[in-house]
Amino acid sequence: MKNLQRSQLLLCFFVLTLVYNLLPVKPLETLPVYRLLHSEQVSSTTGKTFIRGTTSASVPSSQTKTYFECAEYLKNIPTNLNQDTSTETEDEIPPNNEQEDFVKCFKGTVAVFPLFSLLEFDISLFSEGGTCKGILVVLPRDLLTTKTQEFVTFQNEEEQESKEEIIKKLGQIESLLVEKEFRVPIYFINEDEVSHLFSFDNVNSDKQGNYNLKIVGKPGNKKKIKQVSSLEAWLPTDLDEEGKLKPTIIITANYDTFSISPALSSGLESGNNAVGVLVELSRLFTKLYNNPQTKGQYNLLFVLNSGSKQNYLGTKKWISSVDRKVLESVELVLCLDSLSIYDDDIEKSKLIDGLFLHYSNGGKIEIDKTVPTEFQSISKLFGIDTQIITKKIMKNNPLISFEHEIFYRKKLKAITISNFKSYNQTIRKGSLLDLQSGSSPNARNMETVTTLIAEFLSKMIYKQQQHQSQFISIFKNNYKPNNLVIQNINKMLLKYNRFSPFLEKDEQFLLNLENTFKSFGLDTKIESKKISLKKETFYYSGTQAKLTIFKVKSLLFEFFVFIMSLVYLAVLYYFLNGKQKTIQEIKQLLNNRKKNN
Amino acid sequence: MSFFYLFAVLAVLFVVPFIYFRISTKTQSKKKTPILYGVVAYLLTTLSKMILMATFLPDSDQEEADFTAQFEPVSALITIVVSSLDVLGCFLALRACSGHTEVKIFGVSFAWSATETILSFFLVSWIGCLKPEFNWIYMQNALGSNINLLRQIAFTHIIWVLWKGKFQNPDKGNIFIWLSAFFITPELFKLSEVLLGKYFIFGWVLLVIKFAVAYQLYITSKKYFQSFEQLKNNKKKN
Repeated sequence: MKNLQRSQLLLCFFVLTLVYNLLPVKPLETLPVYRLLHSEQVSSTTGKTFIRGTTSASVPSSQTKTYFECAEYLKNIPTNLNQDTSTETEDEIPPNNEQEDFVKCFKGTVAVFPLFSLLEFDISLFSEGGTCKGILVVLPRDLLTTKTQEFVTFQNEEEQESKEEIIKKLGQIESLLVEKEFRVPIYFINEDEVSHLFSFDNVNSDKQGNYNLKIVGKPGNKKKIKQVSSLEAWLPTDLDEEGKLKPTIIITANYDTFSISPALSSGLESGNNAVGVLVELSRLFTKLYNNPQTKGQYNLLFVLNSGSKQNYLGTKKWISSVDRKVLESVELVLCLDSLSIYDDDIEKSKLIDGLFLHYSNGGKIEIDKTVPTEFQSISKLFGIDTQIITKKIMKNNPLISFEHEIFYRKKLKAITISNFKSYNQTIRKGSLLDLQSGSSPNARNMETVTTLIAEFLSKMIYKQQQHQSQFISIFKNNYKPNNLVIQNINKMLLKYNRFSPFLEKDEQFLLNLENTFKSFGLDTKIESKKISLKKETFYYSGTQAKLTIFKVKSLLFEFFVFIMSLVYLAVLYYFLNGKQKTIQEIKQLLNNRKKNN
Repeated sequence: MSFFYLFAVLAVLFVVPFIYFRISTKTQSKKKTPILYGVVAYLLTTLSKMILMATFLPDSDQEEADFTAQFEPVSALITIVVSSLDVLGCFLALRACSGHTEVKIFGVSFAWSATETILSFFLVSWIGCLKPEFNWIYMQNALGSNINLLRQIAFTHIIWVLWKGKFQNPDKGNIFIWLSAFFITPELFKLSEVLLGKYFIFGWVLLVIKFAVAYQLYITSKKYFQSFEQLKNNKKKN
């Protein structure tokens, strides 16, 4: 009989387990998350594969642990983040029990790290499988809202230094995240989405409320850069007396970007905030050219290219397909890189963080040195300090530092205007710190820079005499650059992820830009060129996923509630039955058991 | 996963009434008939109340679990009137069953309360307790059903006293007042939920208040019952 009762109980338990698994569970929340870039590079010569980023795609339903819950293990951990990375030696972190304890702390859970906590330890500790179920990196709201400007706008020199260090270190973290292969899934999420769930202000998080995270994602389809699209807008002038093309000036910019999470690649800082400037320049010069009295003696070709983060793949493809007649007429190529200037308050008497004019010398192509000095002198009038940087091109080095080098190699005179001194500066490569120019104070500077570039171009186009003592500005009043145009273009671009490998031929933002140029009256076309590379780099789609969060009970807490309910029953029984009767019953029960044994 | 919370809630829901019934009617026999009649009486009474509520109660868009819902006096009045059917149901159950007084009273109360618990709370608790998300409301509902049992016992005592006393009890005025309290208090609790909800006071505080009220009702009805039994015994002796 007793065995039958026990088997019945066991059966009930299994049925309950089955029912529990079959019951639909309502999650607490469902939020968007963005996967770390997963790319794979295969060398066609050696056949060797270099895998980067995260290879796993889904986070199984697991409990979470925030950084602060395990941070106590990190008190004495040395990191290699403070070392000088320019030596290019990868010193291994000496094995340390505390590091192992820190990693073990997250075993079997989903580690939730605020982005800046990645500075406190070496993320590559988690690269091996089995260390944790997954990593969720919480991006501070300062990174992805217009408030980013507050982060980067420096108030005093001391703050500037520390923030520059942070930017540098974040760049190192991003490099490590992309270059290392992680066998655990890594996703990013905005702080605003999870601030009510995870507290990162206090060390003591609410442990009674544990959360179960689940991300269902596929590794995604393998894709490589199949094609790059270029957008050309042609503003012609009249043909010369012989019916040939007059000289041409090409103004180029790049619209693509890079991010360690392709689903978060809508930023506008890493060399692609010049799109708005280029569009505004085209509008201004179209207006001038529409008037026969102010029509210039140069053809203007405005070009927007992609693939700038893939060694300027788009520009290379485009230049190889341009009409030979146009190429022969090119007198100057003006490449617009990142053009924003950081400042709080423009004071005309004060020179502020300015621009850099890059050009190459040596070889058969020589730029007339008056061109860069002319730009420099005009920029001073606008209160902007421009430094001229020349660099010899090493023909054996395939790496393109700035876009003008591509044109230089095609024997065209070209300069690049950028606010980056060096090609390998952190933000320039594409970073989560990409600023959104939108309606931030930075947009005011874009208007100034647009005027500067327009004045510089007009000097060439209208062949204004160099020796004039007074500077005559053309772009004022009706021809003053319109900030709204630049802002609207930026706002439009901010809505779209623009990571090259994931771009199609008919991207909406490209069509919008094409329509914008057409509305100005320019002859516009979009051209897509197929790409085939010797070294194939594959990227994986599935860059975005849904995270479901369940609030779970800790087992211990549940057991405690169960024990308390038994205590409640016992107290109630004792109260109702009376003291003496209860004691008698207990004694009787114990005696019966002894007899049975 | 674990079932500890589910077992805890089910234990509080069903074991407490069982303990109370077993202790109160330990020495007596013939316990099944009051339970049976109590279940049938509850089902029929609830069905009738539902039909009347559906006929006379105006439509409301508010959910029951919405603590911020506004209190509607008209609906509350209709609910109080319709709830008086419980008197009839309880009376018929007590009249139909046979046996000792205590067995009848506790049997009907236990059956009434247990049926209400099974129909109102069992399935909700089963599904809710097995969710990954923890919520105290299921334990609160379980403790609330214990308080309802106490209230039901007090109610059954009052009905018994009124019935057996054949309305000749000198305290009948007060008894009727206390009887009406049984119908008014649930609506008062709903009103207090709304009022307290505005100050974010839920759950446990309300439970304590409910227990205090139910306990008071129990003490008073027990007092009336004991005084009635004493009167009856004195008449027999005489």
